[in-house]
Amino acid sequence: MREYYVGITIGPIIETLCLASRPASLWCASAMFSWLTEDMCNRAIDINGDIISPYYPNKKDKKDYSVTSKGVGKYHDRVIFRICDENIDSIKEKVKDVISKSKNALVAELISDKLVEVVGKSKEELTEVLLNYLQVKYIIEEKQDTNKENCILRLSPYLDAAELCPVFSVEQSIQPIMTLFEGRDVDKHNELVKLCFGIKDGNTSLLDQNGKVRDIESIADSLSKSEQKIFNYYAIVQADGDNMGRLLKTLVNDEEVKNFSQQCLNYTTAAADMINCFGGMTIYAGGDDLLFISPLENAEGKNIFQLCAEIAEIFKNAFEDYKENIPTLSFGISINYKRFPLYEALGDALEMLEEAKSVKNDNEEKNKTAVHIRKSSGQSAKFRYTNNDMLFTQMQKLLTMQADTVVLNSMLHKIGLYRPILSAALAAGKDMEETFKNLFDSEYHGIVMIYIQTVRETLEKVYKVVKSNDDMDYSLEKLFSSNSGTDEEISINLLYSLLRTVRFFSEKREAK
Amino acid sequence: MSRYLITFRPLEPYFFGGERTFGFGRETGQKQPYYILSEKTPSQPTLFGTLRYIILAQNDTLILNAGEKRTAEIERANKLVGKESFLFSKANSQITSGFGQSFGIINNISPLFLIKDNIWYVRTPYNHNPGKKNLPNTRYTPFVMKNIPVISGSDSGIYPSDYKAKEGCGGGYVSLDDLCVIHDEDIFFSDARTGINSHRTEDVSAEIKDDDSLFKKERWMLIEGFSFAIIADLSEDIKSGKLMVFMGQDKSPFCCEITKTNENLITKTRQAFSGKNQSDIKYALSDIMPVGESFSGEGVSYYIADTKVMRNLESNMNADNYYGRLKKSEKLYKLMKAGAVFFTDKDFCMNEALRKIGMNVIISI
Repeated sequence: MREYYVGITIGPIIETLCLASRPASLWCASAMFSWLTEDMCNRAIDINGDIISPYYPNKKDKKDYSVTSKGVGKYHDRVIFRICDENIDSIKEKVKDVISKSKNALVAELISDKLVEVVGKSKEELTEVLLNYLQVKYIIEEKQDTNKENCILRLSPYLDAAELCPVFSVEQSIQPIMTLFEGRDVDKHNELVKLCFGIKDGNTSLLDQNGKVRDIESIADSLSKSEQKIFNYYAIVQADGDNMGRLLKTLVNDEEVKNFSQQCLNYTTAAADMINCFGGMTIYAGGDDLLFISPLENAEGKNIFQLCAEIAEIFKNAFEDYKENIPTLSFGISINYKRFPLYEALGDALEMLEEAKSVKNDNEEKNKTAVHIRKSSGQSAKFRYTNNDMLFTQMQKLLTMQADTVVLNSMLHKIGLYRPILSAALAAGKDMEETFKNLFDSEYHGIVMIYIQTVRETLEKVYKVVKSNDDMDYSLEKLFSSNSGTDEEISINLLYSLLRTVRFFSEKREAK
Repeated sequence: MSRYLITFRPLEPYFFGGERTFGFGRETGQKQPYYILSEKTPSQPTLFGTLRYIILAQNDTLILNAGEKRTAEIERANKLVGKESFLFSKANSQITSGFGQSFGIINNISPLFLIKDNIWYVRTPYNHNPGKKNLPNTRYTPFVMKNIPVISGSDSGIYPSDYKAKEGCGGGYVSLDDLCVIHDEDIFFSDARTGINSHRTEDVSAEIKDDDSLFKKERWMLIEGFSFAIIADLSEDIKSGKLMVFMGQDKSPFCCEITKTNENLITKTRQAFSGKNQSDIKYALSDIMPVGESFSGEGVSYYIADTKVMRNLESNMNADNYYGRLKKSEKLYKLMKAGAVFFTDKDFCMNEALRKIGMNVIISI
């Protein structure tokens, strides 16, 4: 008997996510693949496979799959397991059988009688189309005693390469996935998703308290009676671990990899619960990846940035045993008006995540959040901060002041107006407290002086960091198209973005 | 036979519709999307249709009114550009039936390429290693291919050993002068407009109610200096010079320039990439519609491809009514995008009918 490693990769995940135009369909797009991964793990155990990644110690009934029982897809798109067998041909047949049975099982979950009726084709035709749509690739490696790297690091390059080779049908006129996501018509667009995976009324991620599938408006408008404009907006957030590759390199054997997989599962479970409590909908939480849609603020007044900071903390705690290589988490947040299409917002969040992770060199810290706010008027604001750093703290301070304290509503306009003076004062090393006192010297300004000085303090702190940190220059070049490049201008741009964000959070809805 | 270089320079932002357009919702009864994004480049059927238009316009045989019965002009038009627009269904059935569409004096057009300051740019092959984000490869750098030491379910014999999923592959366009890679953001910029559509409100007949009639449309524009281009092979001469054409959903104006030439896109591309790969590979200069019902990479040692869907507009001036003369094809096709690479020395996806409109052009580099 010989020992082999089997690696399986599934898709097309991004392509399927891009077909989704509603939270329910985005949820379903993610759930499909998580369900498929989980089912393959189950069947791999049946053939005496020892699952290394994801963490999957025991077989489960279908009703206990995470999509069905927890309403969240927790398994990512790769399965790696170890198996003993006489020869490789025998393993090939077993793996092909596992894949075939899992694909068929998933397709059976997706094709309801109602879907058949709506598409207007036979169940057999839909089955064939869906089976061709799902891309599952595998590789098999014989275990070598001389292996220096763990199985994830060894097999990933081959699985990555396999993903570059799409297999597809030319004629695409039958689109069951599209119909599943879009539904029958305007009033019944989520009905078909609800029929998949045995979704129960207790699924609080996907369903509201009336058992209705949540849409963007119901997610965004978590406080429907609130006057604030932010409840017309939603956030879509992509999060991804930093330097996971570096951590993986320190894992030598299969047991260490399994422990790591378990920590990933612990993290995603805790994160999904936190998002759910906040009023968000977790689309996907697997490995070190997280994707969710959320309101901008919850009933307790906690905002989306604070939620992300707390999720980053959970992530850090999940991996605290890896003392020398504790990974961090970066976020891409795209905030859009409720009518802004989800597939575009998803792309924007991914772009922001890339911005968050872009560094000048490999030694630079990631651990950042990049935010893009796109208002319905067309105005937008972009900024990036290191998680829990000064910028984040100042932003929270200003947000709290906006809610609790008397503020100067024209501050944004004034910063724009006084930009040349502030820039010159910063460059000349002037005392900014005095500069601000001179600029804001009317009687009314006395009432709001605490707020004005907080803004001054923010500008000073930002400037100090920008001056001493090339990284800040680099990031802002990418985020601001009209960046003039001086440290002073960059600092004022960043302050401007912060203030616009803070003001956005306090704006009132228009009276109907 | 005459060969022409035809360039199209947009004079304002343009919109080339994909599957997600305002019509997308209307046809299925779904709520119309609030936001739609244009494709960056015109499709081959669009360019082919525009050439047909140019030839008809130059010969005074445009049938502008659908109800016109100008028999002599219609006959002339049919002889110049064929009776109907390009149809994928006929192009596919030609392989088995042998009967293809005729397009009059048009023998074929090349795949779309870009041109700036007389430098030609084609889609970067997907086996280009972009390098790290903070240290990109600025010239075409093919992946190092190695034998795959494991059993692969797709029976691949080789794999790109230095491919990193987070860095991706391919991307942008490559200059045929020096193989420098330029990214899409250095070629295209977007123009998003918010509008109000009075037709979206209270459309009782479709039972779609929409109190909020705002919509956003994001068009693209080429950065100054760039033009779209094709090479057209014709059996008769046409007039050289400049003219205005209109393409896209908004009938955006393009300054079109027609110049006689001896240049050949395929030859130029082969020369540019000569010797750059470990061994000859096949490169898709254009989008590819596979022959047969599906594509599974059989017979190819390894390939790198990305897909897209396409549905074209069909025109048939001989149809009885307006909707028969211009309608969206009912069929949706999945294609491989230009830039795909295939590690094989065999020819495949051969379809002369598709090559006519500049598709399925796969060359060795």
